[in-house]
Amino acid sequence: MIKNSLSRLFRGQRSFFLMVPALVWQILFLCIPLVVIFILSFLKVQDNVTLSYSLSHYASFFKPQYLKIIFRSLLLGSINTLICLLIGYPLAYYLVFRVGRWKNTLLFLLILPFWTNLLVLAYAWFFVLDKYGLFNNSLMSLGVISEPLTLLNTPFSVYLVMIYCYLPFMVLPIYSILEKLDKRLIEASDDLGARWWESFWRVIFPLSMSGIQTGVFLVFVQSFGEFVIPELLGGGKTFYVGTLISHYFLVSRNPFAGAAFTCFSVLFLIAVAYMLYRMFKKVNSTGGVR
Amino acid sequence: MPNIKLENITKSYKDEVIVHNFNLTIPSGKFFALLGPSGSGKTTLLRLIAGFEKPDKGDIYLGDKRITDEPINERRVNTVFQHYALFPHLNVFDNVAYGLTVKKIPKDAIEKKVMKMLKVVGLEKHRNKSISQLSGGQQQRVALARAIVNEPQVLLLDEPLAALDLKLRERMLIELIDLQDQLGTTFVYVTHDQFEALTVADYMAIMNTDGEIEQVGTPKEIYEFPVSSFVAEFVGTTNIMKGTIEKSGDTYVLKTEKLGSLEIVTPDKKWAVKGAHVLMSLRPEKIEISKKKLDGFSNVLKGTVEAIVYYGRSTQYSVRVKNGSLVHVFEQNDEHFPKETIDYDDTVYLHWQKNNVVLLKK
Repeated sequence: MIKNSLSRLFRGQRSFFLMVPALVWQILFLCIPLVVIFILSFLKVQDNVTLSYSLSHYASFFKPQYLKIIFRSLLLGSINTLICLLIGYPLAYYLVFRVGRWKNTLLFLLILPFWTNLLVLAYAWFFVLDKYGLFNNSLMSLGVISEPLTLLNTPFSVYLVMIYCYLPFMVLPIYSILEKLDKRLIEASDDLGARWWESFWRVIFPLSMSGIQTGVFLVFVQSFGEFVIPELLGGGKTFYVGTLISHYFLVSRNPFAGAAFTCFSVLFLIAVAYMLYRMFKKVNSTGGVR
Repeated sequence: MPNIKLENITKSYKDEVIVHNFNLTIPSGKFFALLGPSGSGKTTLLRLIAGFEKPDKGDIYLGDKRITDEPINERRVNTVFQHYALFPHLNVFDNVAYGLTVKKIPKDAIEKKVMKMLKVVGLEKHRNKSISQLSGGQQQRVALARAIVNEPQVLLLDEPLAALDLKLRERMLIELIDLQDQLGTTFVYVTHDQFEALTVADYMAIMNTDGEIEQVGTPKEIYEFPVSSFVAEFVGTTNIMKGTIEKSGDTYVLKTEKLGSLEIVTPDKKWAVKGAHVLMSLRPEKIEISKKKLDGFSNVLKGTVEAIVYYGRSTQYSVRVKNGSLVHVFEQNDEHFPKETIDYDDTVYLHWQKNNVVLLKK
């Protein structure tokens, strides 16, 4: 009885009710904070006491040193994305088509870092990249180098750990698309006389474009705002978008400027993301590579 | 056009043997149907011919050429897949052009060939449509065109009509026959549907669940003169009766339990000696059913009507005879007002001629 009347009540709106938890989450932890940040970005402390509306934060960002930081983050995001794609696609392909029965084990190993806190992961790399860490020690004992290399606190270490941490975000969406791909299409392509690389470029690659798209967005958007890795492994010497924002909030205690810089940099992110989106749309509509 | 020869083919997956020491010659330029229940290994055979699988043992010949180790993309064999396997990211034209494109044929030649092919299958107006915009029957035609445009020596069709509804399937069968006639390519058609196989095939082979060939022949031979009870029962409907040979010669006499002696005229069977235990197959449409005993038939049985199924053009009666077995009879509904109506529990006589029975070993 109760079950019946409940299902009658929810009929037609079931999908809506299923969405409620996610919706509440989104509103509480995404929409409201965004609005708050947006409002804060127009506030300014005057005479150390009163708050007033002002656009002065925004105006101050149109200076080379700020634009350089944004450019540096865009570069970090782009290169990280590109390298993740170049490593991640073959990896996903290999997992789906070549490994056979070890597939699940390898996939598990790939996901494993996900379960560890990012901070812990970053610190773990300290021991590897330290002056007398695993990397230098092994190279020296092998006689490849005589003096330890400076690896920590360099762009190299930032990029290395970024790639390490973001690789699964690229591999997993591509993997799931390749896994679902109808293998009979590959057989059909072979049957029609294509060699394996032709089947790859003409069938597999174009049909995995949506996985690539998801992976690129996941990696690019996240790595643009990343602050833990540049902060810890870059030695805090060079500012990226993420590190500067955290600096405003946590060090110089100027949340209003921090909020303004957040909104300012998001504009660049949206612009680039839109360009990427257009690019993918064009590639998809022409049926991929020909 | 070369024929296909499968010689002593053995193929197993993991520990399961699919076909063992399999031999078959598929005549060139004919419409050949491979008919068998699911799990009989017919799709495996098709995949072996196409090159998707390699046999564990044995050889495959296309004409005089041994193609056992030839890679898929070099065989002049094309496949029409069960679910078409059309490329969803390419439009109709590019799907059909695919095989020619990878062979690096000049663009204008491709254009010409593909358009000609699209005209043959009646899709020239849909050349720029995407696959998802097509109906099932149209997709089927694209799949056909995509394979045939490569001018294969053999076209393999793996249950190509399974996804279509009955009316469309009947029409596509006729189109396939016409197409094969026009092209003269060897068609190998795999199906579990005996109606499809009987309709399209010039020759057909019946496979059993052990992956063995039971019989090869024309559809008419297979239907009228099955060599085993498996074939008789798998192709069409039949009545099987057990008995012992009482007399051989021009007319065989079969002694059955409780039904007395039945007369059979059949082409000479060497194994049907006196005393041999055999089966006889009698097709339901070859039986005349009536409430009165009719004259002029060599065999008559008495029974009670137990079930009646009305099919429209015909009616199936299931009649319980004296030894307890059920005999099925098809009666054409050739009159609006039949002279005699047969109802449940009516006592009826079943009549047939002795030359309409087939004698079977097993």
